[in-house]
Amino acid sequence: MSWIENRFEEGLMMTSLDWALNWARASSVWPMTFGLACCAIEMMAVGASRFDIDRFGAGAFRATPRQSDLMIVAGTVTYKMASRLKRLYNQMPDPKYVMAMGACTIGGGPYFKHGYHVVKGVDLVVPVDIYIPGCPPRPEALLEGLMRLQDKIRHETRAIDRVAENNQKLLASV
Amino acid sequence: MSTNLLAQATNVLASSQIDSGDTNVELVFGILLFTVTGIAFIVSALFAGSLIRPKLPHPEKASTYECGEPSIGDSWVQFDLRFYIVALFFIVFDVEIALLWPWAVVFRQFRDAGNGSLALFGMLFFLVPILVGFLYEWRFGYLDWVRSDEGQKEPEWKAPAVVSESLS
Amino acid sequence: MSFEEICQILKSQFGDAIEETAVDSCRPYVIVSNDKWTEVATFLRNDSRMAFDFLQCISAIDLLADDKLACVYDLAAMSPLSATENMSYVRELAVRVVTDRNNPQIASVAHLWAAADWHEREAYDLMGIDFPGHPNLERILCPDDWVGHPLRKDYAHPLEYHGIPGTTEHELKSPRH
Repeated sequence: MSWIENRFEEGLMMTSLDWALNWARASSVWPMTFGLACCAIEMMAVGASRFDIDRFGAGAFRATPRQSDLMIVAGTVTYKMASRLKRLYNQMPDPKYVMAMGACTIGGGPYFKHGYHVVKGVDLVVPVDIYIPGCPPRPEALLEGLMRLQDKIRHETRAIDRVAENNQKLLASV
Repeated sequence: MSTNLLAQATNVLASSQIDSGDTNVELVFGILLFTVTGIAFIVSALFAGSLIRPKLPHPEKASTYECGEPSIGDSWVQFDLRFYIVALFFIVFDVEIALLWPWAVVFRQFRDAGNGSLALFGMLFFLVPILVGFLYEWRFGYLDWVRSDEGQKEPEWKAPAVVSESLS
Repeated sequence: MSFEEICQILKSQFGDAIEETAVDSCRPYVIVSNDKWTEVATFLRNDSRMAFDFLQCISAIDLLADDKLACVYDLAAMSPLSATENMSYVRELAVRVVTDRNNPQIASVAHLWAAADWHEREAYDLMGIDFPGHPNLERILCPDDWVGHPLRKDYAHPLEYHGIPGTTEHELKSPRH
């Protein structure tokens, strides 16, 4: 939580600041290479020239959690890997986002029933922002997921969120 | 206009002595202004960042190792002394190459000027002591890297005589 | 050398220790008695007529109906015994060793074939077969603190592993066998 968050009403200053910060964040999402299985091949294709994730400012794949904003979990997450995944997620600087790419990461996929070793969805380990279905998803799907993530970032605000406040009041009154 | 300014600046820089007191003050003032503005930029950027950036500390964020594995033990471990010998050798011969290169470039000029033997013996004066040290270490085995030969041991099982014959 | 000839030599050497020879199987195999396995393996490896110098694979089988576990050792010989023999895989042999399911023990052959080291660790990890004489019998694939041996047919999937929910209730209600 930053100093400026939830401190000022939504106004010209705050919306301009939000716009500038969100623009900067959304146009330079640096993903961390987290290729665990075959989905990683599609992720590499997205990085290569035909699909070219660099067009969206997200082509700087970092091999360290310290420099990345987005963790694309591409592939089957095993219980053995889950602790490592959690630790790497914790090491990423805020704000951080997670993309669950492929059926295995979304809910265990083909290993849901008989895979004794597969986590039944990476959202049981880390909070996921974007789910990209497919086995594996096509590169276009990953780009679509990235664009939806950028939409999500663009709608972030640091002003006092009256809507959320009202919702909480409503929930409390029920 | 700009070329004028550039010419003035080069003049000031080129002349080793600054003749009038006014230019001196201007120069000091300019450097001071440059320094203060630079510091102000950095401090204001860091301050603005501290207001805006999210601050969510986590013990794992501060950990050293970033490969997902928990780190074990201390990074201040004892290295094999032989690594330092190799590093020392590298430095010595690195410097030697750095000196030999320009020497080799100008050697022909020295020779043409009739000073060839001077240049040669000058270099030998530098090279021979290093070479003696090198030969000493070579001779007394300080360069031999004694390795574990566990992986290269012969397996206990030997091919039967018939098999070996037919193979050969 | 054909499978029948190998069987003949083994039978004359070990007699009752060769419990069965499955010639008609799609991949012919011999069943070796568990307590004679070390001697048979040493013979297969070191005898000049056998000289099986390559252990291709160890497969563990769960014979749930017979309450048994078994290991299949796929052996091959890379060196020809005579000049007339082909230079590629000259002899192949599959050996099956059966053990009790409640206390599964098969003598280790890691000292004869180095490849057996990891294969036996895998069989131990996933099937829970103990290999007395193995230099380092630890889990090779599953985490060290894993409970149970997951490829056994009666293995119950974990409900939770270090706080991560595992098998759903839906799966518990629909058994797999």
